[in-house]
Amino acid sequence: MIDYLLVPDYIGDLVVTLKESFSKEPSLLEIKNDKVAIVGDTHGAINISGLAFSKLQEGYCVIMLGDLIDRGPESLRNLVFSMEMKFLTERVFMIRGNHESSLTPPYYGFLDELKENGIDYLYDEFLDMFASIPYGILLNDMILCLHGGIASKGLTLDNIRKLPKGDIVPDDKTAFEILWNDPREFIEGFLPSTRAEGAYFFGNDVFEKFLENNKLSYLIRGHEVKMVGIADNFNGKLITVFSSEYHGGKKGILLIDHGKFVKIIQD
Amino acid sequence: MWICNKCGTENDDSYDYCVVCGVEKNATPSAPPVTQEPPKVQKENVEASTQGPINNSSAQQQAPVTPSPSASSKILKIAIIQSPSPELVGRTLDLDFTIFKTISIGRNPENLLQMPDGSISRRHALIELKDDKYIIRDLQSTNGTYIFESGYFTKIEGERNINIGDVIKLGEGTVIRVIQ
Amino acid sequence: MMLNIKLDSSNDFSFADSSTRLFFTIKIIGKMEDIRQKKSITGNWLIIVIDQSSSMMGEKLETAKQAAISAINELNPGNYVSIYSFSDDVEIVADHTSLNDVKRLENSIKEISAHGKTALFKTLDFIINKAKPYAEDAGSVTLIMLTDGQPTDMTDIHKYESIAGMAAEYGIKINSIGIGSDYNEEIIKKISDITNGEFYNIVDRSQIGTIFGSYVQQLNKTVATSAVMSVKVREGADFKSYDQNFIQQGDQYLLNVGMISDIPFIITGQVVIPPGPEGPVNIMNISIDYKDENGVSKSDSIDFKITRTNDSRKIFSSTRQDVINAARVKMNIEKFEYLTSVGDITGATKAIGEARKAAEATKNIKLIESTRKLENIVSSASTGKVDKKQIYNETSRIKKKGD
Repeated sequence: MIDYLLVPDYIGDLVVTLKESFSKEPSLLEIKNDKVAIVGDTHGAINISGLAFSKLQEGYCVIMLGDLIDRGPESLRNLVFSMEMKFLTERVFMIRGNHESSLTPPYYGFLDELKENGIDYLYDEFLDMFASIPYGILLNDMILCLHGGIASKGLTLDNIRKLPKGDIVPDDKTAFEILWNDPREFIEGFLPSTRAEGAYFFGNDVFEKFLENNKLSYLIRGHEVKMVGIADNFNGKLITVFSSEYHGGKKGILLIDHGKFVKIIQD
Repeated sequence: MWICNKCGTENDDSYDYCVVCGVEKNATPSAPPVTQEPPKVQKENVEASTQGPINNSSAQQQAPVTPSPSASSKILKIAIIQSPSPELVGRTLDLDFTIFKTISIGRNPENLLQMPDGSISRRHALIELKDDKYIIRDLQSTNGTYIFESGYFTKIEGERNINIGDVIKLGEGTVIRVIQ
Repeated sequence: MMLNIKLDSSNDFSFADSSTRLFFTIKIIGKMEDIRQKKSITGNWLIIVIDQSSSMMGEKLETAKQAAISAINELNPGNYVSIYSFSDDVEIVADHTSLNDVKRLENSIKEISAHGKTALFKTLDFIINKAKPYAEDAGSVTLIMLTDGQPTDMTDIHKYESIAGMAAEYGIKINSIGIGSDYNEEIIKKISDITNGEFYNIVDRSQIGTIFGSYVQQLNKTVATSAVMSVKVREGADFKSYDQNFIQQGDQYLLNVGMISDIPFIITGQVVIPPGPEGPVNIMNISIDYKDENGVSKSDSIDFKITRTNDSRKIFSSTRQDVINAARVKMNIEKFEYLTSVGDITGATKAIGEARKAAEATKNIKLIESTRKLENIVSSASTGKVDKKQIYNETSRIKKKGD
């Protein structure tokens, strides 16, 4: 039970407000900032979200890589808190994760939490809000942030910019892959993933080409459990940040300070 | 059954210690071993406070055109592309056919290639060195053995030649590739 | 003449941050050139105990008597033999006798006749107490006991555990043979287990002679006597053997091995190493004290050292699969025996299945067949009643002989 929830309508208002806010942001949000704190999948780990937000005082803006809900307890509180921080500071930016959709909340806990708090009538509003969240962030024209990975169909930044908003599942194949794909060494091209129908593994060859064609230096993403918190692939050009508690491993926050990468790892 | 947090082996509930690596049930999961150097792009500097991912091979893979791997060396190198155990993803293994002409693959520890994946059968498949060629045979596994060709994972019925570069799926969660 | 201890473990490393269970096999071997010596050590004491209750009347008893006669003829001079028979009471047929006058011994044996009940407890109590003084000098006592019926004087298994425990402390090994379907296998096997003796279930009396003969052969090839093994455990590690019953005294585990013949004496077990700082550490010290052919006291000892590490890769790459497989068989056989004895057939079925799978990994054909045989016995048992006698016969052999 969210104890500060004195007025259920507050949540409803917050969701609607944030949905409008997200809708105004393009599907590929462009940010220029010298100090950025990037937090990966939190899945309810409000303490880690809080740790990232504490960087705001130091002049950082915060990028959240999606998957705020499901799996961990109190993921609703984590989401509401993050939405509030975005609303209040205007320096918190989010991209959509594969859990910000209709596919997972009924099975991984978020819908149950809504029910426990007596606000499951807001479920559709939440889904609408999720469907308005940008798919990617282009940081300083050099770093791309996506939740899962690059898509087999839609390999330009323009493809991402043009992704439709309001796609609840999402049905768009490129959008789906951006939320669900994983990098894998030892393969070439795209290989059907074991995660889900329509998800793929991508190899270093297509990844390098993607970076080159789009004049990027790094891809920063979440989506995969990393017991060490932050891990990389593909000669360090793909960085995974994972920031949850439920997996029992370490949690990471990646700071980029004037081009310098600093890892914060919590045990 | 429980999965070992260190090596990923599936153990029967009656065991208090992993039968392969010996660690107790519910041991602290360990981080994968590190081999990664910091990113090389000019501006940055990664704080080496923790470890990177497993086994990042910088060698570019060749297109899978070559015929059967050289049977004279009798070692088949495979890479684990995907496994429910994150510790195994990206690992490479050498299958040595000099002593045993067949290498069994399955969930149980008795298999020479043991894959900790609930969707893999206890005895799932065999890789055999027959007449200087490598073949894979599905042992009527519950969830099947598949080879990736023409954009799809095609089910293997009975036996099938394997070549370098072949991507093979076992059950629902494990994908391996023959790399040498 | 020297004994050597050799230890193989499933790994040289353990996890610094978690408890790790390692398997081991300890082998005690006589040095090669000494095995070929013609004369083995003498001064061993063989005790033969034969059930003469009325149910033994006829061919059974005659075969047992014949087997005893063959045994005393084959046993090397210089050793000692006692022969007891029992029914309502113990009868001393021969009491710690030398082998100078074998003919006289034969005649005494021939006079054994069948009559009466089966006072097993009284008999064992008497014999063990008689053997104690000799065994106190750490002399080697090998006892073979043959019975065909339920004990009539005492049926409380705990009482047998007590006297068997006492016998074990003195290194008196009680090997038992149960013949037919009427005897109490739980009691008989328990006695053998506690004293580290072997257990046989036979249906065919012709096997009596073979079994007696095998003990005589071993005695005739003694390379060391009065052997006592001591395992000192460090770092709070936990030690356990699957096939021998050690007596624990704090951090020390003792095993009265008795006489060692030319077949290597093998102990399989596990040691659980608690977490600790990275680096090498001495987990246990294993020593064996014994007497050689000149009665000279000797000993050998080794340390089992491992290195604790946080690098899982080191651990995975130093795993010795053959040690693991052999130990897994014995571990599961022990479990299987226990579950069979308490009647948990479902658990026992799983345990023997695991044992058989581990056996298959060892590629030891005999071992695979033995475990498969056990699996069949359990699975073909109707209405949950398994033939424990047959099962224990197999498990005892696997434990003591390896396959």
